[in-house]
Formats: sequence, C-alpha cells, structure tokens
Amino acid sequence: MLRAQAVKVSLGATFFTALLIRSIPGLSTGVPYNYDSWEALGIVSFTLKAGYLPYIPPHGPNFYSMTILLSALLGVSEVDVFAYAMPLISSSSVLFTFLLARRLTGDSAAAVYSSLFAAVMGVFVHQTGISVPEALGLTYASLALPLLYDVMFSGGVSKTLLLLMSCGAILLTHHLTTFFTLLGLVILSVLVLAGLRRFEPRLLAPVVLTTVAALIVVGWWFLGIPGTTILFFRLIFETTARMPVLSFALASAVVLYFVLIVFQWNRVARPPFDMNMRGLILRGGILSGTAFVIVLYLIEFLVPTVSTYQLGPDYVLFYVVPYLVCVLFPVILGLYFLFDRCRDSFRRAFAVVWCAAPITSSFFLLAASQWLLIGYRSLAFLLLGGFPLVGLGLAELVKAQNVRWRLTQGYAIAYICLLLAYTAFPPPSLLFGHNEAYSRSEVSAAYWAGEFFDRRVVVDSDHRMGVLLRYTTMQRVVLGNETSWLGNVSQAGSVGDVQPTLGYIVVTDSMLVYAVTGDWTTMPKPLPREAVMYLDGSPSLNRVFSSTTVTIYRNLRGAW
Amino acid sequence: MRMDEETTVLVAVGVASILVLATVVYITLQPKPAKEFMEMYVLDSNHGTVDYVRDLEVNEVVRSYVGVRNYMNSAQYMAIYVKISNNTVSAEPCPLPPLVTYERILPKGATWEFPLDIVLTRAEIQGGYTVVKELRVNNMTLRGLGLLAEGGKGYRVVFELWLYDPTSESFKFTGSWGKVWTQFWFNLMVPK
Repeated sequence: MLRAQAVKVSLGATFFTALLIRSIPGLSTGVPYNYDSWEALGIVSFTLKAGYLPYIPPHGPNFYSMTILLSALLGVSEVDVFAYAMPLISSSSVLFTFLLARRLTGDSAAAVYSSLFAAVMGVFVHQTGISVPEALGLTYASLALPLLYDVMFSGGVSKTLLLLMSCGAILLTHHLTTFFTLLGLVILSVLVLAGLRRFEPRLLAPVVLTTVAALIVVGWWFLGIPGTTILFFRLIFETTARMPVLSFALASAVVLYFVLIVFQWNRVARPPFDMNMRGLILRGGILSGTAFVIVLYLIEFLVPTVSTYQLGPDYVLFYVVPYLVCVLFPVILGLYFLFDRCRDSFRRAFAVVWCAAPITSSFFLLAASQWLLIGYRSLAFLLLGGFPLVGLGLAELVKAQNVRWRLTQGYAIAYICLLLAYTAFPPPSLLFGHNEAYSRSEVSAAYWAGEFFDRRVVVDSDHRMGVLLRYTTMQRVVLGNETSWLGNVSQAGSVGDVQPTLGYIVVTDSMLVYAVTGDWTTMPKPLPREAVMYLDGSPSLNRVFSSTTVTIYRNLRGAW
Repeated sequence: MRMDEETTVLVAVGVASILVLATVVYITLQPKPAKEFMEMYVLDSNHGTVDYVRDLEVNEVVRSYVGVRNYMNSAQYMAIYVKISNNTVSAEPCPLPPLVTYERILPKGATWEFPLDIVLTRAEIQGGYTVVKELRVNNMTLRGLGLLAEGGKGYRVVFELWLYDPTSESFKFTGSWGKVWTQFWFNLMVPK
C-alpha cells in the first residue's frame, strides 16, 4: 500500500499528465480537433445565435448545454471551448478510474497504475480528448462505476443519489455510452441474480437500477430524442436477429465465457495453486500471443475480404501491439490476482461486466454484419472497464521483481506511458489518410465560404473539410462519398466531368497529400494531381479562392 | 518495502508527467500547421460568387473584386500580377508576362480588396481564332496585344500573388505561403 501523501502526489501528476496529453491537439493546432467536433460545434453555434437547440441531438442535449455553459462562464468563444476546454473536464476520468480500481483491487499502487494508463492509453485518450459527447459520456461513466460499487457493497443515500445523477447525465450525454452502461448493468444484474443465495437489498442495487434505467432509457430514446438513435439500434437489433446460427453461437460463447469465469473460475481458468509469477507470465504471454495471431489473421485476411481496407505492418505495430502488450497481458495477470482475492461472485462480476458489455456487443455486431465502426467505438468503454485489471496486473508484475529494480521499473513504465501517449492522436499516415487536425488556413477558408457561397447550391468536398464547411455555410455539403466528384475521382484514380449539380468544389492540401475522406466503409485514397490540373484547366470552373492549403472552384455549369 | 513500491509508482508517474510535459512544450513551440498563410479571392460584379461573367462582348465592362488577406507573421510587400491567358496554358505560374501589376505593403492580419474593371476594346477574328488587340484595365489602356483563343472560347483572367523576398530582392511566386492564385474564364463574342 502507498502512503496517502504518495497517492495524492501521484494522482496530481497523473491528472496533470492526462490534461497535457488531451490538450495536445488544441495546443498544436489552435482549433477544434476531429471531424465530429465541428459537427457538434455547428449545433452549439446555432444555439448561441438562436437561443435554442435546433433539435435535440441524438446523443442527448447535455454535452451541448455544458459547452455553452463553459463558454459563458469562461467568457471565451465556443470555438475556444471546443479547442481547449474539454480536456479539463474529461481528464477527471483518470481520477474516477483510480476510485474504481482502488475499490476493486484494494491496492492503491494498482489504482495509481490504472489511473496512469487511463491518462495515456491511445484510444481512451483520443475519445476523451476531443470535444464530442462521447468524451463527456465516458467521463460520467467513469464516475458512475465506483459509485455503483459503493452502493452495491456499502450503501449510502448520498452515493445512491450521486449514482442516479451520474446515470442521468450519461443518458443525456451520449447514446452509445448509455447503451454500454446499460448492457453492463444487465449482465451484472443477471450475474447477481444467479449468484444470490439470500435476500440482500444492497446487492440488488444493479437489478433495481437496470429495471428503472431500461424503462427511462427506452422512453427517452423513443420520446425525447429524434428517431436517429432508435433507428440505429433497430438496425442493429434487426441485423443481429437475422444472424446465422453459427455466428450467434460464436457470439454467445463469449457471454458464456464471462459467466463461466465468474462462477466457475477454479474449473475454467484458475492457474494451479503452485504456479509462481513466472508461470503466470508465461500463461499471460501465451494468451496474448494467441490473441495476437487471431488479430493478425483478422487484419491480414478477413478485413481485406469484407472491406476495402488494407492494413500494413505499421498499423499492426501502432494499433495492435500496444493493446496486447500493455493492456491484454496485464489484464490477464490482473484477472488472476483479482479473482484469487475476490471469493464472492458479485465482486468478480463487477470487475468484468464493464469489459463484457462492449466485447459482447462487438462480437454480436461483427458476427451479424460488418459493423466495424461500432466495434472500434467499443474500445474506449472496454478500456475504461479494463484499467483496474491493467493496474493490478502491472502492480503485481512490479512487486514480483527484485527490489533493486524498482527505479528501473519506474523509468520503464514512464517510457511505456510516453509511447502509449504517442498512439493517442495518430498521424494521417497511420489513420488511412484521415487528417483529424485542422489548420487555421482551412478554418479561414471555410469562413470565407460562409460569407460568399451561394446558399442554393451543393458544395462538394470530403468528410474532413465538409463538416467544417457545413459549420460555416449551413448548406448542403457532399462529404466525399459516392455522390461526390472528389470522392469518385480519388477512388477511381481517373478524372471525369464535374456533375452540374455541384456548385462549388473545395479542395484541400490534405486531400492531395493524404486522402479524400468519405464514407467510413471505404478506404480513403488521395486525390490524384490530374484532378487539380483538370479543375484548373476547365473553362466551366472558376478558381475563385486560393490559399496556402485550400482552393475553391465555382462550377459555372448547372441550372442556377 | 512500502517505500520500494512507492519508488516505482512515484518514478513512473513523475517521469511520465515530465516526459509528456516536455513533449507538449516541444509541440507547442513548433510552428502550428499553416499558421502563416496568404489568401486570395476573386468575386463577381455583385461582390459574390454567383454571377461571374461567362460570355463577353467587345467594349463590355467586366467588373470583379480581387481580395488578398495576409495571415503571415509580418507585413508583406506583395504584388498581384494580372494576366490573360487561354486554355492551352496550364503552368504555375502562368508563363505569360503580366498585363498589369498591383503592388502594396499589406500589414499583418489585413485585407486588401479592390475592384478591377476589364474592357476588351478591340478584337479581331483571324482564321478560327479570336485575337484581342487592345484592352483596358481600370482605365489603363494596353495596346499591341495578341491574346488569342480558338473561336473566342476559353479566355481566362489569372490573378497571381507574388511576395517580395528580401534575400533575393525580388518577388517570388512560391514559398512558405504555397502557390496562391485565382482565375475566371470567359468567352469573347466578336461580331463577324
């Protein structure tokens, strides 16, 4: 155990680290990062001008009202709030992760490691560092989990109230986080009911919460927010309902495995009693290695078969290795130690359900169709549930080594943290050409478009620049998909005539250097130079705007 | 023993935060992507992007507005080269000599916009080609020209932004600001 002072210092430094890393995009570009941020910013800007939300967004209204409140409180523009302020709030998730890990493991060193990994771990940093509803939703979720633990195992009115408030906040902030939290609660309730031998009201807290939450969530989704969320989930449920029997059985096996390790740990996965740390490391290594082979197979053979994506070895090194080495491996070790310490199935269940929910959901979705995007979105929530186990595994690994290595271990962990932080905001070359960082010149060009564009016509651009143009022009912009000239030219690699229906073509340097980003289901490709030569040489296209990074063409053909 | 565990935790957390801080400081001190840039635009006679001229007659006035914005870190001594070309020339910059040059020192963060009236005052048809012999740009008459386009179609007015380079003591078309130029096309109708 660490002394209280050491814990406080560590947590302070961890929060500082989390804040710094999450602030990198804002500090390095000076404008909001990521495409979705600009979509959300559009809603906020409209609300500030009109005085009301244009519609209740499918995620829920809380994120938008929070950013408006921050803008008013800090006295800065909403653009600055989106660029700089969100990390301040979302970095608190590392403190809540500490609280959860401290409760689950009973080990403050493990809890600090959990918190530290939450501060630096790639996808989790990305999803909590950008100004989108998910960042706030994950932060509320990280607060709700330790509160639920307290309510379940020690009770308390104030904590129950706080839990209800944080659950309400999740519901009003982000639909997918609500879905994962609810799914985790459902699995936890089932496991609690299955393990309950006598009436214990506190342990029934998740069951009560699930019942109430399910009613409120469904009611809110049906009545409170527009059809997008319901339509989305209906699509998911319809797809999973139609899935082949074999796929259903495979996906169900994952759920069954979680049930088995909670109730039948000794028979299913517990290592022999005389197994030492070396044996555990070997076991963890074999399991991680097996997972690596499976993931490698999926990446190299399955992904190119079912999609247009092709992932090179650099992608494996950047995205797969860190998660297997720094997450899965310590999670396996942590699971062994945690399950050996927790003899009751309730605490075991609580430790795994937050991982079980996104894994189950992903397996069902992947088995049912090609909902690869949702699978990717699950990762941040999965990490949130996994951090306590990562911390415990790491703490035990550290303790098992000779005392003289303590200092070296500290340096090694710090170095690993730096490497993990590097994966948080991937460069376009490691993100299929998606350049999530915007430059001031692009923002300025978009504002020019907002001032001078003809509102009656359609603008052609890619997903990246298009969301920015939608924000400034409030008009229809084609986002590099199949109806887009830029999207088609980049995919085909050859130039055809610009459709008369497109009034403006907006080309960025990012399209030429990295890719024309469009529909997520298609791997983006760069815009060939011939396309720009065509645009510059076509008498029906006036080159009306030019800057260091953006060129805008006015299409003179068409019916306006 | 307790201190041993603390040592690892504190070193890990402390060094990680220092390393991250150093990285963030380094990133913050780096020039932001395209923080320095120039912009140029050309607007139609209604100061918009809707009514660009398409078919032009001799002695018809074409008004456009040309604007430049300086987002570089300092004031810029710049030149706008106005050229008239056709669809057979595609190089950057346009290899033709400028018909008119506008020069100005533009302060940092400032916008310079000016109206530009072009009147093609004399044109002839030679073979299948239309040849502009004389034109007027903002009351400045230019004679002895030979701007030709097949059938009078595909003329273009090109505006190029050149910035003064103190090292070479000359204007340069490309640099850290990229290649900034605009253009509009028109067809010239010459009665036979």
